[in-house]
Amino acid sequence: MADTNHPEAKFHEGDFMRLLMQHEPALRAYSRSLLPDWNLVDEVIQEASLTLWQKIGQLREEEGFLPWAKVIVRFKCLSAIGKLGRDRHVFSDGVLELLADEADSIEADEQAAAMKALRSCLVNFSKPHQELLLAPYSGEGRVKELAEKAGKSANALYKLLGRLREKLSDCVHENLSSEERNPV
Amino acid sequence: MKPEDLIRRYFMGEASEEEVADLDALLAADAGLRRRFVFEAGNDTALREIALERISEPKVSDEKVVRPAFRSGGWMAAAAAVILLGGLTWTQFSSPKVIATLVSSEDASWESALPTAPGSDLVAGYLKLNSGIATIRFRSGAEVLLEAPADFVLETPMKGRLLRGAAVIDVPESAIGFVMETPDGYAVDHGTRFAVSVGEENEGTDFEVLDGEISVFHPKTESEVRLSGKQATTITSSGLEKRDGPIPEATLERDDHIIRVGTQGMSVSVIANNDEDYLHPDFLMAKKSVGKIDFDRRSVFSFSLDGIDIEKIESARIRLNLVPSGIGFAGHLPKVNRFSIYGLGGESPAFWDSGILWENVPLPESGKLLGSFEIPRSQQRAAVGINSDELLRFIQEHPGTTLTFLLVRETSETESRGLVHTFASDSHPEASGPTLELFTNKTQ
Repeated sequence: MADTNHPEAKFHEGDFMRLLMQHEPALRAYSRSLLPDWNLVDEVIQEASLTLWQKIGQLREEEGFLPWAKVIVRFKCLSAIGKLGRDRHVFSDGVLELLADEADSIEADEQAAAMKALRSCLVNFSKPHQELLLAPYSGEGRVKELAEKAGKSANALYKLLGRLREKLSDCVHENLSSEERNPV
Repeated sequence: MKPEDLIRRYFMGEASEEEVADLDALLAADAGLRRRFVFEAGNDTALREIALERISEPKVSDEKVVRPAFRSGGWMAAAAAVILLGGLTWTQFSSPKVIATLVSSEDASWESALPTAPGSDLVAGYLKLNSGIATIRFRSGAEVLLEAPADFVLETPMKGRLLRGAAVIDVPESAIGFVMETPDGYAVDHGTRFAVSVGEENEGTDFEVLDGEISVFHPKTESEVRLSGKQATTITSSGLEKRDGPIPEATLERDDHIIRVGTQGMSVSVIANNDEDYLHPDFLMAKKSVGKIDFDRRSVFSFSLDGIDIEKIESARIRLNLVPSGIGFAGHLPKVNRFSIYGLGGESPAFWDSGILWENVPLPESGKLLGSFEIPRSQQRAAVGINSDELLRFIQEHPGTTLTFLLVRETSETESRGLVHTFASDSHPEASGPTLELFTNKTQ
């Protein structure tokens, strides 16, 4: 890497960083559709971001960033799964291809609307319930900790978490379809 | 088990091998379920993003802020930036020559592209000292003690330029000939200790020898004066004036014509998610996020005009003291941040008593914009405020009432987890809380 900018490229470093930041959540969601856990998603995204920069010369229009990036991320995901072997709980190749096609069809603004809807749904939950919904991502053993604090079994809390997630997902769904009916 | 439950178990990492196989078969056969699956992947992503945001948004009550090793939004770009830039920039510039060292700083706050940690090597460049005292040792041996507020330019090991502020210069034998420039003229040192003080515009510059000898030059009039002992000179754009003996101590003008009003505890911050853990009674906070507003903060404060003769007031000012918050990254803010103060009305608001919520505070649009001020992102301490005709009129329209004001940051951060600006409230241990200053006619 001798040069900060590809001389022939339309997009320079500043543009690249901006586009990457803008579309990072969508690329994460895309990877999550294909990969069995978050560690793998983080690894793939990190690797993909470097590849994206190296190949930025391929990109012609800003609007094309997300679909173009998805192609690269898809490839990285499938190759990461290939390395896992069959001992992990992963889907068959056929299903992975079908899921990737489905995830490809999601537009950038659709994805953004869904994330926004989830944010507004989440704040309707009570504070302890919000905490529980976020606990699985807040560090190893956080759900257990909450269970101890509440004097309940971890198993009971996981059941509650399942119900809360169902409710949250219904709310997001509801929110999105009402928006479709009454576009703002 | 319902297919939806299988999907949920999968994303919660609870699905068994058998369940994954079941789900695989169901997904292969059902396009609607695949759509559902991808939708849940998006929800899982959004939840994780929010969880990571809340971890990294430090709570005020946390004594130590533990930052996770990984980050949500921006993490990838940040990592990429390191990868991309890490090996690049250093090859592009050969390192400039070090001409001085920052020896020490006492309560110093800086605005500078140069490093400002004590012990740092300094290359030629500009230093702005906003508060505190700092000592810079030039490679020649000359030592400059800067007092804030000061603007100082390091030029060579034998030359510095003071654009604003005061400095005491100590010049050992090795640095005889050291030049200190100012906007009006410059001093050449013949081995001594001397003081320089650059006044505000048109006030001129004072040079005062503390020990030894210096020459002061006034280029415009081509005049020169040699000072020794305790002699001093004041130079202005029109010339220089030598005095025998030190410059007399300045006196402070007494301000009998200012009425100062405090908030008397009527000040509070609100946060959009109404989570009090992110607020603190010592601080009035202002933050505008990028995108979602959960962590946006605003502040309200009131002054009672009870017993004040409004007729006599000729001008008015609101003063706030910016204090360091330690919450968020200043680097995630624009270089300059704009704040506005809105007048919310003259009736005594009921919300001071307890539990004031974000939605109880009127929106800026429903108030009257009284004035704005700016704070550079590098600044952590400052006296700021507004002094406007709008403020005066607002006060005159509401005599004898309790006036309530809303403080908001108008400019938003450029990336999430940007710095939260904090201003002292009445309970702040060091700085004073919001003050309303009313200026009456001097002759009365």
